[in-house]
Amino acid sequence: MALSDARDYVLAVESNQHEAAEIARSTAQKLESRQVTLIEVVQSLGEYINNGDDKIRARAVSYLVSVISSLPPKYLSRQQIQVLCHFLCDRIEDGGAIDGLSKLQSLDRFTNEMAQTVVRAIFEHFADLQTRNQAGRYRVLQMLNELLDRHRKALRDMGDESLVGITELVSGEKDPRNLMLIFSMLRVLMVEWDITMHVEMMFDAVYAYFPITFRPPPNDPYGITAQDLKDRLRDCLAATPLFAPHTFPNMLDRLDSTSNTVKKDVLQTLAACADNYDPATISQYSITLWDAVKFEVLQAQESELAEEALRVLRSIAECLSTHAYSSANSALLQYLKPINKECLEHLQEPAARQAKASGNILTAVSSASIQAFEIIMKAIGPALITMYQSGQGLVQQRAVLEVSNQLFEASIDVYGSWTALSPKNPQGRENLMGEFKDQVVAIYSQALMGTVKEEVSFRLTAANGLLLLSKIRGMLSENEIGLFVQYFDDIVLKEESYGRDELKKRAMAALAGISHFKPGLISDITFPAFMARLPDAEEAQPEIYQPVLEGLAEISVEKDLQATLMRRLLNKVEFLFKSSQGTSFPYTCSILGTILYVLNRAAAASQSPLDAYYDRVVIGLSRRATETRGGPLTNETVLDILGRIMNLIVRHSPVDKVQMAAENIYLLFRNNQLVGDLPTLSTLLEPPTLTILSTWLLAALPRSIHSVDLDKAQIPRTIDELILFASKTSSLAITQSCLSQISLYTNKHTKPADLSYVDNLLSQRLLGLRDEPMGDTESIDFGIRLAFALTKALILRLSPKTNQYLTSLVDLLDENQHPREVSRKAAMGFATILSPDDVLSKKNAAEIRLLAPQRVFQILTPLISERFKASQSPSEKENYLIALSGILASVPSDIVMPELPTLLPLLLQSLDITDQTVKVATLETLAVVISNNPSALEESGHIPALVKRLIKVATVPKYKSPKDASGAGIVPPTNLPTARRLAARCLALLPKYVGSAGSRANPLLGLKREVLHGLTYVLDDHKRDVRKEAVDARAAWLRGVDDIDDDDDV
Amino acid sequence: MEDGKNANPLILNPSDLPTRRRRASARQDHSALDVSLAYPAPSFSNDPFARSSSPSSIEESDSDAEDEPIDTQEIYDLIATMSDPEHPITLGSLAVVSLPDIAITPTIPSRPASNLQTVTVLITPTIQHCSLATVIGLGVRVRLEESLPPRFRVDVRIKEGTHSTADEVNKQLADKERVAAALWNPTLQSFIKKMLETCE
Repeated sequence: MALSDARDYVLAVESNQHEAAEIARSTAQKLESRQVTLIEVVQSLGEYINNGDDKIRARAVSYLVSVISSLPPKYLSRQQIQVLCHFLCDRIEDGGAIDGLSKLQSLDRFTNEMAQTVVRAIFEHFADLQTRNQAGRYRVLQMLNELLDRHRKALRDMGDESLVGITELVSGEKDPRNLMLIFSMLRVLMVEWDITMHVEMMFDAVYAYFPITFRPPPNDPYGITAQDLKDRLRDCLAATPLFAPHTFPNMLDRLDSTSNTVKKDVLQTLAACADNYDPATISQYSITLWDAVKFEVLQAQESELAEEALRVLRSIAECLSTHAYSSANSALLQYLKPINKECLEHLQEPAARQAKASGNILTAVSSASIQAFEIIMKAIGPALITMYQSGQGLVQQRAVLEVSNQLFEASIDVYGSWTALSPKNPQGRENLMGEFKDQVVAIYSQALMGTVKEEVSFRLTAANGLLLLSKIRGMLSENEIGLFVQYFDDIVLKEESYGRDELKKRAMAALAGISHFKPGLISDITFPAFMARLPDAEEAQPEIYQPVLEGLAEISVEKDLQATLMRRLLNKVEFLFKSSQGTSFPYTCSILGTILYVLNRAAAASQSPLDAYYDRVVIGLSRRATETRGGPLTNETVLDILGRIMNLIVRHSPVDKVQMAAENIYLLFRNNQLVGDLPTLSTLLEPPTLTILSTWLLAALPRSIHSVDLDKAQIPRTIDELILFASKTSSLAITQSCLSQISLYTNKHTKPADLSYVDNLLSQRLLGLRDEPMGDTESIDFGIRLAFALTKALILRLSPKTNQYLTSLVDLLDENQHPREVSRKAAMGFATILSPDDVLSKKNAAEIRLLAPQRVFQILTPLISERFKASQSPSEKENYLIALSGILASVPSDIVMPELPTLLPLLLQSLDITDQTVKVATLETLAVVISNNPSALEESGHIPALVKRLIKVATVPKYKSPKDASGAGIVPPTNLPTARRLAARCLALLPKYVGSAGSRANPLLGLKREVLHGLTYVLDDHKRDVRKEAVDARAAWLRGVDDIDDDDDV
Repeated sequence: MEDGKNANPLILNPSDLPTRRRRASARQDHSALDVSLAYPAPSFSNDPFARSSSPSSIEESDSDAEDEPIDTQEIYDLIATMSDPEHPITLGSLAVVSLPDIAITPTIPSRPASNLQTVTVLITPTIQHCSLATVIGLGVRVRLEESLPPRFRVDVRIKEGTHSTADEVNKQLADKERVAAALWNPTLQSFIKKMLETCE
């Protein structure tokens, strides 16, 4: 019966893989249950195994292999494995045999001897490996790799036989997939075999591939990049120091290559060698390497190569630092001597290019280790000081300071900073720079504080240096750093503003930096100095308090300091709240803004609760606002920021306090006796500006919470009251606040089953908008706002009727059914639907479904496009475009792209209407389209139309009568500078993305002349920003759109 | 140095190069730090319903009321970011071009109503016998001619006393036909293309 299985398999395997596998599995089961023996199975193959036809033989072997693979791992005995192994080795060239051996070698009972047998079989049968196809070679290599993995000792015991055998077997390989395997196998041989007799052969085996010039085909399914190959090849070359006599001369030869890629490969290989070879080897080549590699830094053509070269130099220093350091004539010293000498020479002209490069070299090398740093510092440090003191001018002196700053950074690297010990300094060795510190501090202090304020870059360098010095672990005393803090304070607070205030910014950043490692100094010196600068009255100038507030916020990162800051700022705010005069309160707002910023940062950084401020801010200030009838606490802007602060605190408070807030949305923590039993909303919201606070409190509540106001019977009543309340007010802020609350109730606190109330309200309102206005435009305005507020809340939670809601909004644009004003206003409203909203946001636990923007866009785009085409009236068409641009402005571009074919004609039409907001939104969308999806643009065939319109938008039409320049005459409609600038930008983007790829003719070619001519007028725009874009656009078209592109077909 | 290349030129720091100062009229920006501490605009201030057809927020900061004529700083910005053909460093950092050496004058002083203007740029080669002075001059000329409106005449010269063969170079740079002929040379073209690559 085993015989018939073998026959069935051989017949089935070609036509039905699945059935064949099933047959093999059943044979395996029979073996397991001892119905047949392995011998019988093997014998059953007899008829096929000696067949003259390769294919038949292969099928027979594959039957055996399938059977073996289906057996449980412990089934085969050692003898059986032995027999099978020999059997398969004899037929190793037959298809499937390799797979069988691969299976066998993974079994525990596979012995070292068998491994050697297999390897020998491979050597014997595959001497002509390179004549086989890639897949075949890959299988053999994979098998070898598995053996090398599981039976490495067995292979190693074969010594030269396996070493030479494998190396010869793989030579001549060209396929990247195979090479990946080969490189990793050869590396194992190099590292673990004794290769002393075969160094050159091994080196040649891998060096033959240097440099890798492989370029993966487009859409390569194997995903092997040139970099992958380079990485493995580099590991091979750096595998053993025995290669050094071959690697270094060859690499240095290749360094003369004209190709930057090759040079980069060389430098990376050298760095890898320095990382892996032993110090004794590296010390023989260190100076040769320095002499060759230095040119890549000193005469750098390519900054990337310079970086790589610096890495080589540092790696060499790191390698030599592991050598015994004690001897005065150490290898490290030998290496660094010529470096010091040459760099010192270049530094004599400190502002020159090679001096800068020398600074980079010294920094790279000295950050290798403490030993390296000390050797360099001893040689260079005193020289730098002398050079500075004899400096010929600020430019030179600044350059000297720059180099010193770099060395300070290296010093932090090797000795560690206050906050972090360096792994290069485990014993906490004292910093050598201590010797120079007094001189250095004096020089830098003088440079920062004793130089006129016009020398910005000089002082900036000095400020950088002082910050670096203060960071170095254990170098300066508290007093000395305190002195620097004082300098920085003076710069921020006392110096006049100059230029772009770079120095003030840097000083502030330095203070913030110091606050991380010396918070005590900041709280003792800077904090009081800054606080004292805060004015007491609202009338202060923003120039005075703004930087102080920002500074305070920036330095108060540490916890205690932050608590003190909050206390002081709240005191200040409460004091300012007392005043009852004035109409705008910028100073109060700024302080509140600072509080918000600091609390936000605290909440984000530590996740710690903010309820420490609950009583004072949420309860105290709410109550206070209910008692106030004038001054800052009735100002809408002030209340908005205060509301945000309360919102933040409530969101980061424990449950009981959140519950308390839920009960006080409208009560606002008033004392109960002052409020009647059943107060109406309008009595509670007195003064009406309190609505703003209520909104932010309501927004902070999680969806799950319960309270009287959030009861499902109460919500419709509250919404009605809010609508009534809002219709009575004349303040836009209060109207918007009421609408926000309605949105919040609808989105967060209404169950799907209770939505019918909202549906009714919405359809009733929409119906009301159909009537002709009766002299009451305000009610129209409110009606539309309400409709959009409700729809937005419903759509974001993707309520089941989303489609219907959106359609009714688009219906509003139909001028046949609605008054014109309604349609126009509604068109503008579309911008609100998806625009980010601080109140109805994820942070505030609003229900915003991930797919909402996509759904909205996919429903609206075809709808608007269809209505646009059907519409006859120009003003109605414009409405559709306005609505579309409102949506486009806040939809991520990856959602827009699939709809491009529908959208493009509309976008082009949008460029023709006068509404500037639409135009700007359209141009922004087009810029994204051009850069993200140029092929869709090309396929649409709209490029010529687009280009013509862009030129038109970018160009300012000429006056017909220049004498009428006084302005009273008719000025033709001009696009805003932003629109002109964006149009020119789009023109500049086109050549970058369109026509560069693909086989078709570049669609821009025919337009080149027209664009270049059109742009000459834009070059003379009144606005600099527009001209700038026009210059870029012309350059892009001049050089990016080439006639000779056709010859480029390589 | 005998090959007319300067391997080790002096380099200016980018923060020392002339830039356009922040306009005083620009929006009140007292920020001393890069972090923006500005408190958020009130939630109710964003009102798309209330905008006119040209939004006021754009209008204020971005109107045509203020004319910004082309000045020497703008010319400087056009050419300072070009790179030197032999170093990957900009002409500005190498002080090959500098703000005081750029002048804009009316082309026909006798007719003040004419809007024709001449831009004069004086080039300072990094060394006296810089072999690439002509190429740099040509590059600057090309950049300006393609970036300025046609009412501008471009005049690029070597600054007096900074180059050994200044007269010869100037003659070449001023000769329209020789300039045009030179630009057909493929080597020169690739040189100039490389110089213009770094333009910002």
